[in-house]
Amino acid sequence: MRTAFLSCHLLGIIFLMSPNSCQPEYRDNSRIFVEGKIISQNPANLPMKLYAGTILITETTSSLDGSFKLGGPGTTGEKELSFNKKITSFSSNENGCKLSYDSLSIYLPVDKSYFNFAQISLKQ
Amino acid sequence: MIKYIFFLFFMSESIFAQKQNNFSFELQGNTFTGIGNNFIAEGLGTFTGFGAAVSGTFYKNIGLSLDFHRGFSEVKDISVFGDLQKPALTSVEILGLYRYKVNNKFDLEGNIGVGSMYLKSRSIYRNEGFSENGTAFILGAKALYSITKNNSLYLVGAPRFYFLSTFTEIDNPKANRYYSTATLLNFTLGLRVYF
Repeated sequence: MRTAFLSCHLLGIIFLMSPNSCQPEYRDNSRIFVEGKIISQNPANLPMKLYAGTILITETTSSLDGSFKLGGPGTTGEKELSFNKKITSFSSNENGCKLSYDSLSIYLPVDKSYFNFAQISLKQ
Repeated sequence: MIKYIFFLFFMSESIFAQKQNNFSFELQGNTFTGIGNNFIAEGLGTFTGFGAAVSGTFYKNIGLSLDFHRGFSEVKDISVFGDLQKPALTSVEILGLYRYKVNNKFDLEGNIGVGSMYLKSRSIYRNEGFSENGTAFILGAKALYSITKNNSLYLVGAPRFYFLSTFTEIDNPKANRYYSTATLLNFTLGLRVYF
C-alpha cells in the first residue's frame, strides 16, 4: 500500500522530468548551414544569431563585403535567424522562409538543413 | 613444492624469452588535429587525450591491433561548429599491422585499419548534448625503441592519418562534404609491454 503510494509520486516526477515535446532538442548526426550576403550601406561586422527556441545554435558577424556563413548542430523545431536591425527584404533558396512580425528575424522551415540568402537588405 | 613451482615458472620464462614474445599492451598519450577544409579543422582546436592498444603478431610479422583512443578539445570557431562546449572524441579501432625489425633495439610497424568514431559535445542549453558518429579509414606508422635488455619494454612514437566520414547529411553537396568528412592527423607517444 505504502509502496504504491510512493510509486504514484515517482510516476508524477518522471512525467515532469520527461522532455517537453514543445521545446526543440538537438538531433544527433544532423547539421544546419546558412550562408548569404547582407546588402546595406555598412554591411561589415553585423552580428547575427541562429536560434531554435531557447537553444542558440550558432552566431557570427558578417565579413567586410557583408557575406556570412553560419553552421551548427541540427535541432528539431523551427529555426530563427535574427539580426539587431530590421530586415526590409530578403531572397532565399527556400520558399518556406518567413519574416517575423517585428522584422528582426527570418523563420527557417523545420525540415531543411541548407539555406542560401542571396541578399538580405537591412534598415539603416 | 614452492621451489618446484618457482622452477617451473623460471623454466617457462626462459622458454618464452628465447621465443620472441608476440603479444603486447600499449598505453599512449595522443593528439588529434583536423587538417584541411572541414568542420573539425576549422571549428575545433587540437584534441589531446589518452589511448590503449592490445596487439599481437600471428603469422611471421603480420598481426592485429585493437585500439581505443579518447581526446578532448575546445571549440575554436562558434560560427563553424556551433555554440557547443567541450567536444570529446572517442575512437575504437581494429588494425592490421606489419612489423619490421630494423635491428636489435629498433622496430618499425605499419598500420592500416578501420575505426568507429564518436564526437560528443556538451551544451549549456540541453543536458544530453549533441553527438556525431562516423567511421574512419586509418593509415599509420610506428617507431619502436627497446628500452630494456630483454626487449620487453618499448618506447613508441607514431603518426597516423584518420579519414573520418560521419553520418551527417546536409541538402547542399558542398556543405555536406564540409560537415561530414574530415581528415585528422594523430600523434602518439606511448609505452609498450610484451607479455
